[in-house]
Amino acid sequence: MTERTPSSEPSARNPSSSDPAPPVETTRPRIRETRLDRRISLIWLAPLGAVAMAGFLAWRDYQSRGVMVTVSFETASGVEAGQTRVKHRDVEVGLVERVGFTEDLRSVALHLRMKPEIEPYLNETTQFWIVRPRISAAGISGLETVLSGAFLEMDWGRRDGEDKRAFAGLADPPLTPTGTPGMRILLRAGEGGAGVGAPILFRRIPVGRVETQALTADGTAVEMQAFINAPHHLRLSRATRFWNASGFELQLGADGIKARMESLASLLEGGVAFDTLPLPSASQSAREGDSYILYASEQAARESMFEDATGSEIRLAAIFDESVRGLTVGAPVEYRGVRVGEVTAISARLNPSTQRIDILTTMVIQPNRLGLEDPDPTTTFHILGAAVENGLRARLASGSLLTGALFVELAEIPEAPLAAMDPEADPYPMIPTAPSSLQALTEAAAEIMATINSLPLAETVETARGAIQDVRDLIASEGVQGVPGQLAQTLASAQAAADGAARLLADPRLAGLPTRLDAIGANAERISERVAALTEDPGFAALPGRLDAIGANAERVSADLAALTASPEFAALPGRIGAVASQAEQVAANVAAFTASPGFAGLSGRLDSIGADVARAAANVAGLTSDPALLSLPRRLEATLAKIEALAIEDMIFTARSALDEARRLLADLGTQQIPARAAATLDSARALLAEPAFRQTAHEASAALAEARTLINELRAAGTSQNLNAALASVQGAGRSIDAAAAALPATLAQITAAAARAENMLGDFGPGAPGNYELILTLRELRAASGKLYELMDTLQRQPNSIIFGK
Amino acid sequence: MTTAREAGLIACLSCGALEPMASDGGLCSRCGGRLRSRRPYSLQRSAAWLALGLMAYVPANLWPIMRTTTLGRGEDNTILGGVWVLAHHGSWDLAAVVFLASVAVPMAKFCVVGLLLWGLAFGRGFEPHKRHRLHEIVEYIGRWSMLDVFVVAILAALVQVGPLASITPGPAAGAFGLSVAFTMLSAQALDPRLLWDAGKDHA
Repeated sequence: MTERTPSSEPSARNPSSSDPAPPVETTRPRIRETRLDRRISLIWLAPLGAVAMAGFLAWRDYQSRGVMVTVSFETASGVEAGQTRVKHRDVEVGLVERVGFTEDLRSVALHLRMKPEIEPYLNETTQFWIVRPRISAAGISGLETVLSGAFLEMDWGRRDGEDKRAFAGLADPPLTPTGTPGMRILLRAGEGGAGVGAPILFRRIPVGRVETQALTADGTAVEMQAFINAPHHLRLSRATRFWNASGFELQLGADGIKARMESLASLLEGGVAFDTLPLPSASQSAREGDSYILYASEQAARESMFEDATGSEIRLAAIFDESVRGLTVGAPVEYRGVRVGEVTAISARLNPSTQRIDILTTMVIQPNRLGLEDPDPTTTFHILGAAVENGLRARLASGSLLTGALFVELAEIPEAPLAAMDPEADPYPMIPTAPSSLQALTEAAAEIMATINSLPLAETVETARGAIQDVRDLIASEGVQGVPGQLAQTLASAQAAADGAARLLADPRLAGLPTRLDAIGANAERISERVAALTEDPGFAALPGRLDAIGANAERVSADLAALTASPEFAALPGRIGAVASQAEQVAANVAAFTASPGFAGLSGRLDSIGADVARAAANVAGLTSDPALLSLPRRLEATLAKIEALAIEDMIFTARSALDEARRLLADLGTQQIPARAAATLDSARALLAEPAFRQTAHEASAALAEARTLINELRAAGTSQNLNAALASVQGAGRSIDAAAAALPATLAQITAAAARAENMLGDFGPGAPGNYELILTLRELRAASGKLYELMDTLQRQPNSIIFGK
Repeated sequence: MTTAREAGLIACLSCGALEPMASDGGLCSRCGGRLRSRRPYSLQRSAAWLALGLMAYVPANLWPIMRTTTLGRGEDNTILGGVWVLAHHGSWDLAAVVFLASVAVPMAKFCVVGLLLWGLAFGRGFEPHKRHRLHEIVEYIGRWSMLDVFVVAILAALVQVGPLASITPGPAAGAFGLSVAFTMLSAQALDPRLLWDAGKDHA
């Protein structure tokens, strides 16, 4: 280049140049030499340096250009090649270099140039997602990308994992950035509810989120992954219960309607709430990845006191012989009222050995609800097997009589027939069953019904009808119609008697009675002692012979009687006569025994003196009770009671009869000393009578009268029911009127009787329980009071329902 | 026409004083400037600067000279891209100005300087008066070549409205500036006296 210049030098040759050689030829070599010395200028270093620098820069750029990563997405909306950044925590870590498709064109492949320092974090834990404006119920996010445009966010779990260069981008940003302090747990629910992103609330404060929601592999439950932020994850323990806080809850209870709402977000996308129950397991803190049951409601969660939410399960099967109608899948399995599991399936299958269709009920039992601590299934089956040998059986029980819902009860039935658990049974170990208590109840009811069926109801009704007919006949009789009048009289007398009794009881002289009665009692005791002594008397041994003699006499009498009974007219009387005869025989035997004994003379004398004493005592009593009314009281009572008895009211008859008995006994006591003589006289008279031909006539007449009575009864029967009824009603009405009349005076009378009786009883009660006379008197008075009470009742009843005298109450 | 060299003289390029040829390489007796009959390595220097200018001109056209950010969306513009955008939006005049200043003139400079150097190196080309005219034009026009850099600088200073819109200079701006500077140096390094010497040869 510069060679041109020297080449021109010869023509511009300067003689005064340093070169001494004047000719052009001579100067040329010099210049050429200098040119040869420095043919190339140093300036060329500048472009060379620039090239080197550019090369170095290019090399450095190449070196630091980072790693290429491919991320596939469903769509690349908002992503531009060369423009869209990749960020981590809003710091740029890469750039989208190219946007293309995956080979099958099914998704978009973004080729990212990541910064070299990011390379260690590109491993299997790395996630990419596109940050776009996002509006959801939980809030608005990514708003900044409205202006700045979408960008890719990346996050990683840890450094130095297994290297990875191709990733599948997330459709949605992960709810919890990796590395957020907290705990990830699993929630299992029967059905979904809390959506992805749904908040997890603790006392209505959001402390976490549901991250994923998916069906389990077998499709029987929904499993949710949830993240609890620190420090709230420390609140979790084995006693923590989660429930679905659906946002809105309406409760209709006895105290009205209760509405409860969680946060608005949980209303929109559901929510999960939790609390820790005060259980012993609350001390066992939760671990990462623990699984919890998500209950449908707070109530259900809180009622799960006995459950360990993370407990194991065993499955059992049972074959019930009865109908399982009302038993549903999910029905509880209870042990003594504690829920220990639930029914999971009910199915039918053919039992090949018996050729019967078995109803197979499968249930799941949570052993820890039975109090077994972390058992393995084998142990549990072993324990259950032992329990079955002791009578543990599965049986159906009624949960609700209204709905007929059934549940399975594990009951200990000691009397159950021997059975054992079959741990090898298909499909699950088989627990023996027992008939349900419901069935037993039904059987008992059926038995009762059968008993009732077998009762002779028809006969009873027939008998009752006959009885009613008899009563009707009786009421239709004149005697009964006259009852009210007589009753009024009787009541008047009773009132008078009561007055007298009251006066008598008020009498101070009566105060001496107890001591005298005591004396009487002592006398009676002495008598009985003597009688005992008498029976031990050796003369008593001769009694049988005399009895024979008496027997002979009796035989004679009976022969006579036989002659008498030989007559056909007598046939109607044998019962009564027989009774009299037997009584007479008995009396006679006694009397004979007494009379035949050698000490009888003395005895009779002593008896006489005793009798005289008693008579004196009685006379004293009579004198004491100067009022004759008291003396006539027993008789009148008898008459009254007889009439009341004639009314045929069962209760009353019974009472009255017992009263009569007591009265009779009293009378008999009063008249004891006369009996032997009277009995003898009676026997003699009877014998004379029987010997008399006129008696036969009498018997004849009696039979005729009986025949007449029979015809009369027949006629009455023929007269017809209605007539009888009318007559009976008329009688009853008449009786009712009479009773009304009497009733006016009755209350006062009855009150007085009651008062008198009470007083008398009180007073007689003081006499001491030992004295028989005392006791009799008390009984009599008690009967009297009862009788008057009954009478009062009768009056009342008749006043209100006059016809009840026919039909009963 | 006789040159100073032929007359055995050296003209000081600083003050114009004439010195005898013997003082070549020495100092001017008047102003103290270095005296050179002809600048040594003038052609090499000029060619080297030209090469650097060319080298810088490549990235100046490939890299974005300006980054426009509107509502968060950034957009890079190269020089030719900007011309194209302007023309596309109908601003033909502006596009023409930018094209002339940023593309046509620098290219013309490269061509002219290259042509002059080529002519001097191989003894061919135009006659000396035309060479001199070309050289003068190149030197004159060189200072206007920075138009594009000025535009970018002014826009970057004016359009800074936060995230709504902002303009920042791109890496090409620096490269373009360097390229212009190198071409100016190249034009300056060429000793114009050589243009006449070459003419003598042919004449």
